[in-house]
Amino acid sequence: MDNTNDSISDRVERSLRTSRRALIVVLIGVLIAAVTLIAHALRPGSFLSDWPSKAPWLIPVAIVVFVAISALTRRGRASAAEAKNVMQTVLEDEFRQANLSRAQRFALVVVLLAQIPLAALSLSGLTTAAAVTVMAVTTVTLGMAALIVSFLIFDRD
Amino acid sequence: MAGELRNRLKVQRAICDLTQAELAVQAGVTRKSVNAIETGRMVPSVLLALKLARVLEVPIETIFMLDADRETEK
Repeated sequence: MDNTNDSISDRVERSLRTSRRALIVVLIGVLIAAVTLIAHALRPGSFLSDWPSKAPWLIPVAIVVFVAISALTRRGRASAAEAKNVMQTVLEDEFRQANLSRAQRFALVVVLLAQIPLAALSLSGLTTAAAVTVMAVTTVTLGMAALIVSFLIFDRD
Repeated sequence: MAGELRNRLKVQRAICDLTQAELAVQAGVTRKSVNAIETGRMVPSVLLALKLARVLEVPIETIFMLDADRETEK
């Protein structure tokens, strides 16, 4: 029984660590996409806006690396039933859910407050399309970044 | 009127000779939840409180109590 508990506990801990790392990867991806889109709107033709077309091999490489990391984290999985139990424990965990709710509230406040300075963009010399793109990308990025970062902070030990 | 919720989870867990991880597995939560409850960072739901009481084989009032109740006991 103790061994089983240890095994499940280890798997839950591993799953939590993996999910934290995955969130960090998602955050980095969101930031890279946001910088690219904003650069595309503000400075089309610059390195930051055009890097995807200059290095098209980077995206398949990133996908291969992502799949390889996912396969490595799945290594040693015992059974589908046990994996389901572990996933259920992680997803339904009260501390995690409470932290997610706190992070969502925090992200909402950040997004709402960000609208005040972002509204000033309409007064700047930007074209309407560029201003709208920057506002939209910044809003989404800030929301996602605030959600992920605050969740990672609240959810730490 | 309603005091702050206090708990003796750490003490009861020690009496049962369980680690946080073992208690967490038996209650169906992560170790972080047990740790957060023990350190007072999280107030558990009634469901989780009942599960913890069942695992530790004690009445729920033995683990969780209002601050006012504890002062009355003194």
